Amino acid sequence: MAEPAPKLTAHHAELLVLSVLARGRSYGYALSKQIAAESGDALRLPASQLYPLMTKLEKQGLVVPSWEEIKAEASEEGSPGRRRKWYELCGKGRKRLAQRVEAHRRFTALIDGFLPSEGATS
Amino acid sequence: MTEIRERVSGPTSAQSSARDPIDRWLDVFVRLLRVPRADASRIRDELEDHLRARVDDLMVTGLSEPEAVRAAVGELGETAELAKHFKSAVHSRRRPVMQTLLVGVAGASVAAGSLAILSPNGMNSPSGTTGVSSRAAAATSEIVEASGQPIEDRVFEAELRTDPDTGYTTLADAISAIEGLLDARVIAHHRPMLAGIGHTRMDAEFEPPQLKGLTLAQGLELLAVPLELEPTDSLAVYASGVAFELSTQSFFDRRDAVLIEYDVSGLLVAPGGREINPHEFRDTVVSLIEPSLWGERARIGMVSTTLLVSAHPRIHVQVEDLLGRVAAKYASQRAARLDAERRRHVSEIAKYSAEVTNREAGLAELEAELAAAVAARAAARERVYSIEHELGQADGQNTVSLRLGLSEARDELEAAEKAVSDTTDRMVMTRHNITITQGQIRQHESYLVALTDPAG
Repeated sequence: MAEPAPKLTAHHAELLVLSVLARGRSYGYALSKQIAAESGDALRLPASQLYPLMTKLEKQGLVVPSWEEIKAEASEEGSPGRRRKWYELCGKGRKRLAQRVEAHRRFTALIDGFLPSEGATS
Repeated sequence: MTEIRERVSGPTSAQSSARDPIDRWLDVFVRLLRVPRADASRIRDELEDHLRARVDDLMVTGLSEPEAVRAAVGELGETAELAKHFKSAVHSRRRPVMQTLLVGVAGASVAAGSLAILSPNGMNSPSGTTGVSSRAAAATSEIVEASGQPIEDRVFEAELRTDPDTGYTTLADAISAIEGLLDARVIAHHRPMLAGIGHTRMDAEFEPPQLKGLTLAQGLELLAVPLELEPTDSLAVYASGVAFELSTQSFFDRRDAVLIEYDVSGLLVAPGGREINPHEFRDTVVSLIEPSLWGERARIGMVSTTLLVSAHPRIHVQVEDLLGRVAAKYASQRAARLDAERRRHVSEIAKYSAEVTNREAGLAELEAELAAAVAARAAARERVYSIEHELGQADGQNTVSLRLGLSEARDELEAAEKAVSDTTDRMVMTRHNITITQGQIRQHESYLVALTDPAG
């Protein structure tokens, strides 16, 4: 962790979230931890970016939310617990993901074409 | 529909009665959000789950609970900034939903089949469909008085508040501005579920029109633009006694429809006597009063010579005005015809009166002629008697000249008698003519009386 995690663009954030959800349903905090862990903490999707993004994806009909009651800890008896919002990729979301992946690959391939061959930069 | 279902069955916020720092932070955050309540409630629950899960994780690394809470909240960044991100995410798909709600309002009230009259004390009283014309008409005038022109004359003095982040304002703010303008409570009918119940506020955002210096009517016109109403619809404010009501005009048209029967028998016969087809008459009314209104928002029909109109009181005002104007037009045409008729009789009477005067003058001349003729006859008769007497006295001498004179005298007497008889005949004829002419004068005079006072 020599360098701070780069800030993700909205485009990349959406691509990442849709890709993780393609493996199975998840919820906000789990998504952010998963992205951080799988990138070795190199990529971070902060809550201030993640949750508005999830709201937008939901409004656009790309993900379907569902709610789960989380029981309170035994030590906090009397506390009514809280609700967890799960997200699942739906058909429209998978289609969007496929388009995004395709566009991303074409874009990186284009950029790659301009890059100097390995060793040329050193 | 999605919006309503989610709001009803969606998560409720602030379930915990114990208010810990996370709850308190969420309370502040939700107040900054200014998105529809259903969205706010879901966002709050999701962030609460995030924060509590994050606090648990941080405490595992050795932080105390207060430290963990501070860190977790700190990671969310600037609260207002976060609220702004959510707001634009929610707003990205909001406008179509809002239109659905507005359309839904009208639909709901039609489904309920409400026919209501707003009485001045603000209570909704059922008008029924019996259509007792006088009662309905009385109610109409009351509403018109309560919701008439003075409201629209007021001018906005306050600008709408604009969110510095989004550059948008909310309809709730616009309603507040209208409340300030009217200095009264405004009941806004927007959501079908709450229509007519209470003081509903709409959370939707839109680019704020500049209202300062505009009249209420102009302001409502501008506020209606972002709502994308039907071209024939508009926003309207009506007084309801205890408050003002704000909604689309089509909503009021449907909710406050009143059935009134108009007796138009007097209008179905034109002054010239031509009969007017009742359906043509109805079509004329339709074409002259907001043609786009009929069918959906108001109904009209003819039964014999009765025009039935079920519509908002504002429409009844127009119908009454139109029928009144047609009646006035007919009346003035009838008056003009009557006047012409009256003048004709007056001139006939004058003509016949002159004739009578002339004949009476002729009669006086004839009387003089008759007197002269009678005198001439008496003189002639005297001469005949005198000559006959002389002839009786004569002894046969000189009788020739006497006989000649007698013959002449008898001829004169005959002529005089004829003159008396002729003059008498002419006088009888003249008197008869005078009687006839006087009869004609009396007839025209009686026509005149009848025209002036039809009852007499």
